[in-house]
Amino acid sequence: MRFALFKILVVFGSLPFAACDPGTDGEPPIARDEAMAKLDRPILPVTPGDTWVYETRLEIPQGVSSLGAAEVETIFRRTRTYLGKISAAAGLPEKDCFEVVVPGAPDEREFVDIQNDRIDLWGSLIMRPESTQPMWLESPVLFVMAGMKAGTTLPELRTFNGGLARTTRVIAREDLTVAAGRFSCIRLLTTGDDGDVELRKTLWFSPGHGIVREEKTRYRRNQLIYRETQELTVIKMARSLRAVSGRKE
Amino acid sequence: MITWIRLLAVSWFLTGVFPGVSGGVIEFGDRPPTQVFDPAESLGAPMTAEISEPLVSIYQNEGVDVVVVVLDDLEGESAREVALRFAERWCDSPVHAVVLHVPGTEEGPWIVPGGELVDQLEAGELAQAVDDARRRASLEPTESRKVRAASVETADMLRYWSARAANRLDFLKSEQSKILQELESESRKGRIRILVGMALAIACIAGLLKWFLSSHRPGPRYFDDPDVVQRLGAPRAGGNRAVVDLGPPPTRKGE
Repeated sequence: MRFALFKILVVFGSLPFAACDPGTDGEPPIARDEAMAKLDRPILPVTPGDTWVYETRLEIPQGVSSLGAAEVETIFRRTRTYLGKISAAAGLPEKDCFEVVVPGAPDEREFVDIQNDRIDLWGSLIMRPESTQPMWLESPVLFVMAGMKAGTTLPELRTFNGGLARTTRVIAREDLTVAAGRFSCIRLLTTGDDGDVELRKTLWFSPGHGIVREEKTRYRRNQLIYRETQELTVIKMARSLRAVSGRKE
Repeated sequence: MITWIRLLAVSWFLTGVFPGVSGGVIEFGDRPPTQVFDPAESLGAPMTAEISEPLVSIYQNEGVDVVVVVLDDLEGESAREVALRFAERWCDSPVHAVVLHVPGTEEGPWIVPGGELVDQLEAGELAQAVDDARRRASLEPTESRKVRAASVETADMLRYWSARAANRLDFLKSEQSKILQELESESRKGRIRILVGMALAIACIAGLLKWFLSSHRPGPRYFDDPDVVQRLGAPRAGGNRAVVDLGPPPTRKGE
């Protein structure tokens, strides 16, 4: 009986919407979604040695790092290289590993699981001699998936004690031009908290090419304390046959 | 005549001296081709372009209209009233917002979303998103960055809500399509059931008719059994009322 009522509501309730919908081109929504997902696959084909180079701008407003400290504004290069399947530590499974190198800072390894249609985050490891324990998640967190539609929200991430919370929304699918080329991207907005630090991050991921741009801002006690913007300048593919520039329009 | 003059005078007084009552003192003019209205050019050309270009693209491609208004002074009016009047005058999209800022004020930038889509949102969700966006934008170190941050956050939230509404519509459509197919299939099955039922009924009726006809077919007819009066308890009686002529009694020999 409830199901029958639901059917009636859906059939008759959607008629006015269907009648006023200006943007449909006659293609069924499911078919459109499947076509989009197919275009996104493989989500990130990688070969050991593939490298992404970013120009990164870091801004720290005046008086944040210490009382009276001057404003910091610096530009540096960040390089992300795919190393292959590696275990982060003894007893942990092998995962797809990227090494992130920033001059003057310890290298960092990011561990993800790259499948044909999705990428899951597993953890990271800062390569300091004194501490080599990785930050590892008990269960992976979805980072990006083929066919992501604007207007959807990824499952919320919240730690048990509530100290860390992340909500990621798909804002749009849009083209973005950076130094490395023009890319068709998924625009993801992540908001959340790390204790008393509030985070707002916008990330443009291009299926088949990787992260194209990222803007990360942190706030604490009603003060902007940090902003980092990185933009893709070069992709170096280990296999020469692979594409190195953005998707052609 | 004097009454009319008085009325005109009062009207002129109200509209001329207190124009905010009838329509406000802020000059609207025509909508600029960019999404930024900054008559005092306080943002500067590069920042105006940086803010405007993505907003123009979003408006053209998705119909999400975010108009940025930077004024020197609100002339005593409330920011919300001013923003709403800009929206009323310039925005005809069902998804729009006005980002209003007065450089030097701590309260801004103000974000005033509007349109049919926004009217359908849950009030709590809308208020929370607007407050968060405004708060974060107000923490930016410069006036132009405040405006930029507010415009980006406003566009993000409107695009998300707009796409979410479209997804819901898609979902309803696909559910509607599924249910209609299901109903059609049920209807087809129903028609088949009716046909089968009709065929069975016809067969039953035919059987009954056959039985009726066969059981009522004219056959041999019989006379009623005659009334038999048993005589002297004999199982059979024959010759009731019959007369047997035994003939004359036999004669003895020699008589």
